[in-house]
Amino acid sequence: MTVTLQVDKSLCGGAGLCRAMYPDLFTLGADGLSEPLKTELTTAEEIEAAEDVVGCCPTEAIVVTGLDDA
Amino acid sequence: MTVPALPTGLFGPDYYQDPYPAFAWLRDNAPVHEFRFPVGDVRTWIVSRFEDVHALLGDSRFSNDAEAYASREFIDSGMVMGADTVVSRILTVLDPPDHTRVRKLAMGAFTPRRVAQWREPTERIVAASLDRLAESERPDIVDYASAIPAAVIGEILGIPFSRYNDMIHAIDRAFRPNDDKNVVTRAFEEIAEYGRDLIKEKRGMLGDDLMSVFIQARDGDDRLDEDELVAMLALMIMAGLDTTRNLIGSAVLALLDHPEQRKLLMGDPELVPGAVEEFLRYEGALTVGLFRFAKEDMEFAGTHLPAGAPVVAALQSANRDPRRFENPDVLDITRKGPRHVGFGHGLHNCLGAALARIEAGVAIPAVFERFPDIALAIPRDEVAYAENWLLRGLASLPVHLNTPGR
Ligand code: HEM
Ligand code: SF4
Repeated sequence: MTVTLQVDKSLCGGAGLCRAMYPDLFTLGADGLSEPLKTELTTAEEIEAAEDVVGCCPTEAIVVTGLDDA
Repeated sequence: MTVPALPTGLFGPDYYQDPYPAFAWLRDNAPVHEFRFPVGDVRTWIVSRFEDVHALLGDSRFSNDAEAYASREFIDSGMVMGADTVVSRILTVLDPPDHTRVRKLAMGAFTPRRVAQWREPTERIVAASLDRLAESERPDIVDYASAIPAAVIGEILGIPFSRYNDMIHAIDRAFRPNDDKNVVTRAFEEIAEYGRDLIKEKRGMLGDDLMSVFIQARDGDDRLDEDELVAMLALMIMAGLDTTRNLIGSAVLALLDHPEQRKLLMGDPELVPGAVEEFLRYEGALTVGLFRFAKEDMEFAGTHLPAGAPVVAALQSANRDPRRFENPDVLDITRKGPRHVGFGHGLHNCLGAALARIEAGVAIPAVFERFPDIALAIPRDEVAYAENWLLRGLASLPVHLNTPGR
């Protein structure tokens, strides 16, 4: 099963923590809001990175789906 | 070619009352400006344009960790916050991966679901604070604004009142400039003692409050240890009290200064969230951010910085940068458009923003609702800001609550 990474722009406040943590995975768009640079995560490092950001984002805007563990 | 000098010395008495002329000068003439930081007399750089402030706060070549990266001069100046105490390892100074670890454990306590539950206690505390303001012989908005975050944080942390007050006072002593280092050291020891007491007591009565969540927070096998819990408790008080007080005080003043904006706000409650963002932009609670330190020799925004260079991000300068905001010196609660940096940006952006937004959104309009005839009780030019290099807040704001004949 693939792991996908998305940002819910209706929740994102543009705090930029995701990009500061992992510039390879996130950028801030012209609207100042976060955009994933990759939507399918394959390596264990990427998946762990995405989970870190999910835990740190102040608005719960980052959505990672397809993880096996609960 | 000669460039006129800075209109006011940075971090001097005139600057504290009105830093904006100096910020405008810096943005135009020296966007990354080297100077000697007067508190501690240390070689420092100040960054003033929005774009550069934004970049600085998101740039991993900078660290908040003075102990690891700051210049010798900075460390020797005694500017390192709570050096050698539990507080020296708080979230605000950590770099990844430690920052990631603690921030994740802490952020779990600020879920949107839990934040939503804080509105009701906030409304109750604001109503009680308004009653106390009404009974006061010399009503002062800064007293009102201080009482609210202290009570709200105490209640949502779920900690008993007396030790909590001791803790607040110890923190106050720890950060008040004092030539006697022993007083400061003792204050930090007290913070640790009170913190441990509070946590011990709390372990016996765990509930759904913030402190219980911190105590029980788990990430896999990971959890916050005793020192980290004490640091987190102290951090909530250090980061959550004076900031919120300042925002409420400055916003009430802004609305007294701008009756048309106040009328607009009181006429339409839907404007409140946007107004809070505008207050954070127009007169945010932090003039500048915490120190950042260059981890290596580097170029930043066209300026060479040596490793260890202390750099401050002028948040209120960024928030008033005409390159970013149209008519930046105008208060406009209906402003749409780019996000301010009143809550910082990047790794260390404000963890408590959601709570701060609730507190401000309830406390600011409530004053004008309850006291429609409120007016300044001193001449406008006697309203003064406290001389604090980090926080921007009114020292006091005496008001008449019911102005007869107005
Ligand atoms: C109006 C109120 C507030 C304002 C304007 C404000 C502003 C800020 C700013 C600008 C920063 C970033 C500082 C920097 O990067 O140098 C920050 C960080 C922080 N704030 Fe707030 N804050 C407010 C209220 C609160 C409250 C109520 C809490 C908690 C109860 C809180 C907790 C924190 C924490 C823990 C950090 C550090 C986050 C990290 O290092 O990852 N703040 N705040
Ligand atoms: S950390 Fe969250 S709120 Fe901040 S920019 Fe990234 S997605 Fe948006």
